[in-house]
Amino acid sequence: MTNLVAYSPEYWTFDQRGENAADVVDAWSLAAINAQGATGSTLALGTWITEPSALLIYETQFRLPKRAANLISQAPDALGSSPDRHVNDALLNVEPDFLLRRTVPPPVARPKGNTDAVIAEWQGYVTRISDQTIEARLAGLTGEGVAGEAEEATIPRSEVTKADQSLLAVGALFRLCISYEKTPAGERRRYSTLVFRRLPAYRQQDLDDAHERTRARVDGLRLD
Amino acid sequence: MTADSPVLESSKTEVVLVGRFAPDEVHPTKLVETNTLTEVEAKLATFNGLLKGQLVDFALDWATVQAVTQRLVFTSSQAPYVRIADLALRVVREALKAPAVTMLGINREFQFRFASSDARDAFGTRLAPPEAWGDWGKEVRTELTPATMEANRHGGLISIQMRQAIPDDREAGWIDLTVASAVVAGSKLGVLIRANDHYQCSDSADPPTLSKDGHEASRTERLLEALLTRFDKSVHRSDAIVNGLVKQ
Repeated sequence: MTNLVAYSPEYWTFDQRGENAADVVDAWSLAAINAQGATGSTLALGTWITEPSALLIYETQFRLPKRAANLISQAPDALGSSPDRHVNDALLNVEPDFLLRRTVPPPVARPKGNTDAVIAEWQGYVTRISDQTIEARLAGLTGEGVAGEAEEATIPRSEVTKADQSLLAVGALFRLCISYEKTPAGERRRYSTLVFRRLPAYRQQDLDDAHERTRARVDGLRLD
Repeated sequence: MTADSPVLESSKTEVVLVGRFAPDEVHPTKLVETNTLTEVEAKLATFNGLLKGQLVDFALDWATVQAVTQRLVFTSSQAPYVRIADLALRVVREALKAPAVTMLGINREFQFRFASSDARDAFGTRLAPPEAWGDWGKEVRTELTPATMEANRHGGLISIQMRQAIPDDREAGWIDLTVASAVVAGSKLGVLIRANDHYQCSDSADPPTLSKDGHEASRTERLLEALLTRFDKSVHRSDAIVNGLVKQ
């Protein structure tokens, strides 16, 4: 019997075995892996485990704002508590049997032809960058309890894809989406996507126009 | 949602630009030169069609791009959809040397699957009651049974289209919604719903003095500005319209 092996505080982990394990997976709609069979590099969201020797249930590498976290991981009634109270602090100090690598979402594991439904979407911009994390301000665009709400979030830098690394800067705009993926087999999986926007650069004409508008406004000011 | 509510099987978002374009300038290698695509994206692109001067059609892992001389189409089924708007803007503003955009479409397409032929017929007859078609419609009504569906002799609504003309957020244009029966995910109980949010320029919004290019540059910029500023709103509005349509 293998025990839980996650240790990163980015993960919410708890030990859950036996008959209720599948229910927990379903209720939390989180990803699960069989700890004994995992290699640490082939995690798949929504993996179904019929006879779990142990479950590692992880949220997402994002430290999502409270509303987002609630949206993803509504605590099941059976547990009768908030997800945070199920974080097993002891596990955080355990030397891991393996390391979790990329988790949310695993783009290469996403089969072509699948279809998505967006649950929630935020427009965000980077306010601070540190060695490990990105601080960001989010504005909810769609989603129940999300649209129109302002949030702040801390996101691990590891979540920025290689292609977007060059775009990472204070002020950079991005989108964060939580979606359902429906596989050809009919299975539903929930995943997150972080994408930095690639907007056209300002042209000299745009800058000149802005300068002209500013000048006109300044000239129009009258001091009494 | 009720038991008769359809299941969303797939959806996608599309940006269509109509005008005058040079397809060769939309080739992935050209898009890398203008920093519109990354080298990795271009390297992984797969081609669906390539005809010099006529057609460039390729797929990225999150979108497809199709360029012909009179049309550019950017499609994605992966959120955030705003990526295709950003890509379209960069292609036109930074990669194409002399583009002209005359029309813009921000389209959403949904494929739903109903649980039974009765549920789909209820949806179809709600949109277009057969009785409104006179005595012939009453005959059609008698065909709306599961047995005729099994026998591939099922009548009823084939397609229907509704338009909102000249919404007040644009110079000119409309919002069309088309509902059509379709085979979805291998099921004959499917329905395809397509929202076409169409933008055009109005003469009344043109600069007072006719430019040498006949307002071509001005209209191109106004339509690109509409894409930049209204894309999200358009997608959300289309989603709301379709939700309101199927979840009554």
